[in-house]
Amino acid sequence: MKPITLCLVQMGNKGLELVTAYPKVLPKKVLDELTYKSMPMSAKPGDFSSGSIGELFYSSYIFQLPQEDVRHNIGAIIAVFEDMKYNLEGIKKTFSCIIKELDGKSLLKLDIIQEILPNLYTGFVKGVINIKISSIATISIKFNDMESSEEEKDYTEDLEEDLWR
Amino acid sequence: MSFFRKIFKRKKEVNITLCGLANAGKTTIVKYLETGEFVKTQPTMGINRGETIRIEKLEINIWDMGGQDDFRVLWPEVNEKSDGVVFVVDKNDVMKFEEAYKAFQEIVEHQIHDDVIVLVLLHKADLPEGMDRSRFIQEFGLVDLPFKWACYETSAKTGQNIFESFKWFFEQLKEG
Repeated sequence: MKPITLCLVQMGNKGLELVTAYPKVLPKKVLDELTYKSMPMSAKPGDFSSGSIGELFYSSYIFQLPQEDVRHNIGAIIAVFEDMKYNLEGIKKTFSCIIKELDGKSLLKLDIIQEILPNLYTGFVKGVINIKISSIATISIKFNDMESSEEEKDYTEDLEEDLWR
Repeated sequence: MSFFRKIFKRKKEVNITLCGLANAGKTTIVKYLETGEFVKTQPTMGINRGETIRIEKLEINIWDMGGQDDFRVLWPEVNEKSDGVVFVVDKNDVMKFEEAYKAFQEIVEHQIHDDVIVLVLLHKADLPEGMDRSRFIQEFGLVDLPFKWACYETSAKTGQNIFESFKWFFEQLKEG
């Protein structure tokens, strides 16, 4: 299951604000709702949140945006899907890994995340993320198929068999 | 334990809210109270429930409110149940003084009960610029405030007056 879009949100002067979305496929009304739902009340860096908007489903990872002389800011990166059967754990691990890598290289900045968002989206679609974030830094993540690897068992049929024994 | 002993052992539970514009220093003050140290923080998403502070027979629940415009809609409901309000003002952000004043007036006029204790903190006092305390008290309309109130210059970086101001505050709450 591939995301239909990735979004980046930050805390602005008045409240949560959308920084960018890639690709830009969602209407403004949906993006506005996604923006304020991306960080639940009392959310803190490292939190992971999922929910739905209409017939869409999303998962967001909240992170701290380090800043030098002023207080740190807070942001969220969000993946939006048309179906709820996506790899929740895979999304969480991928997002946290990317944020950790960027932070480790002192590249956890809004403009850098904004710049790599298209490559990140392409990576999700292909199943392999390979992003060059500077002349010396590359993030490479290969992850399993986004869909659940277990076949869904039809428990209803089993129950029928049991009843008729 | 006898019934009477239970009554006299009963603790008083109070709620206090920290309000103020974004980046005034509210969360940093809460962290200083909890740890005794300056901790760099990030914006509060709506509301943070701080640690409950226990002093003698007083249990103090701390509600640290987000200061951005969008989160101020949460203030009335929480302030309505508050026994004490701490309003934090960034001493050096003179450009936002008017906005801070309006937000404070909104709280004292419409959001809190008559017997609420009010503590106003002129924060980031470690920085060189900004309004001095006596002028601030005049211009913020504190002189005519119909509540029990106090105003301190504070700094979570140096610890200036953090414990002193809250000592006064908690003593008022204990008496009330």
